[in-house]
Amino acid sequence: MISPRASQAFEQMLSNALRPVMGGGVLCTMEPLSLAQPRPGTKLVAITLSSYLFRMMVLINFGNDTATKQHMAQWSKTLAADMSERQFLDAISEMANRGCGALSRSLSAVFPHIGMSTPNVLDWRCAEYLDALRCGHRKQFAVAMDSTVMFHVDLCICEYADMDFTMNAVVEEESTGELEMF
Amino acid sequence: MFEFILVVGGLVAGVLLSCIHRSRRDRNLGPMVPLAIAHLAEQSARDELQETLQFQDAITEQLQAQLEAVESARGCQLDQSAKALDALNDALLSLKQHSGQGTREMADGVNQLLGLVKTFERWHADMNNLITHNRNMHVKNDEFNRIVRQMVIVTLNASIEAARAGDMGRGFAVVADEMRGLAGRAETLSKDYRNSLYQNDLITTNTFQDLQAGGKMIIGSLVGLEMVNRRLQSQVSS
Repeated sequence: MISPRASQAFEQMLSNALRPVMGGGVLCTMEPLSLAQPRPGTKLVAITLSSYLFRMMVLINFGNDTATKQHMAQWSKTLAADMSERQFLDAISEMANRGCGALSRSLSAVFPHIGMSTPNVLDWRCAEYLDALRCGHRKQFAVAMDSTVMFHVDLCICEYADMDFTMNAVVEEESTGELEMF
Repeated sequence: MFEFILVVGGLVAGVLLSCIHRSRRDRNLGPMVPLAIAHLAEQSARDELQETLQFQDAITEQLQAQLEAVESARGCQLDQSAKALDALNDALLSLKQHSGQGTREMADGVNQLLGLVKTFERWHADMNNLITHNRNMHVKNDEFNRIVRQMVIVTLNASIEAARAGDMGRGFAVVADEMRGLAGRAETLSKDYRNSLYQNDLITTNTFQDLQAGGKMIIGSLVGLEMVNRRLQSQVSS
């Protein structure tokens, strides 16, 4: 079972890790949603972080609309007109990879042994079956760039032991530990 | 001990000199002191000196014996200490050899386990194959769904044509209705199959990503273990 404060710490870590990366210099906010909200996009990029105590799947829902393409072009320092579909998907995957990398570093302050998968792109309709993963904790967030909702992020955690920790432990660890770059 | 001998020796020498001096002083008195008394005094002084010398010799011998005993004991202790030190050095050397061998064996083991990377890469390749396979199944199912929808339209048209034919088309209408029913069931089945494929995509991706992430977790732990072992090897060899 995941305690309420551990759930809150997971969510806080996710938000702290993803916002600066996804924003890429743009004001980025991340607000929790009820699970019934319609999704803004047509595809998902999925990444899993695993420890022997839990596994966490992060899914970023995105569309291929002009605003999203413009943001991703700016994020990857290129022009939207020059960006192919493949480059767009690669940029989204790289963004998810960096954000979850930051999350992995935060988590390693509490869980020393943790590994992260590479990203995979799925159809958005896959998210309708997230219940099949039998998660102990699930939350959805709306990610807005300059107040425009552009992405939805799903956090799904399956635990294999009782989990209870606070965000304070993570902050203390991060403030004293060395920053791992990879 | 030596200091004590020197002090006793000094005392004895002092008494001796004092007696000799007293004897000479008495002798200088000349005819005022009877000779017999002088002889007696001298004899007494000699006796006293003799006794003192004997006492000194006895003390010296005693001290010498004690000194020899102490030196002997110290020699024994030194021997024992040297033996103990040799044994300790031997044990340390043995421990160092065993530790060195242990760290080498551990390094071999860790290196072999790091070969697991290839297994994880294989799983990752399998996952990509499976996702590609699922994608192909999506394409085929979409094509099947398009055919089924076309069949629904065709059977609807057939029903309309049968109705237009009146009594002549009654038999044909029954067949068209039956075909439309089959097409509807096929369409439902196709949608269910499509949903199953999406669910399959999610579960497959989650499972294989967990394997991949778990593999990286194991490799990370092994690399950490290798670093600790390398530090240990360095400490043992130094």
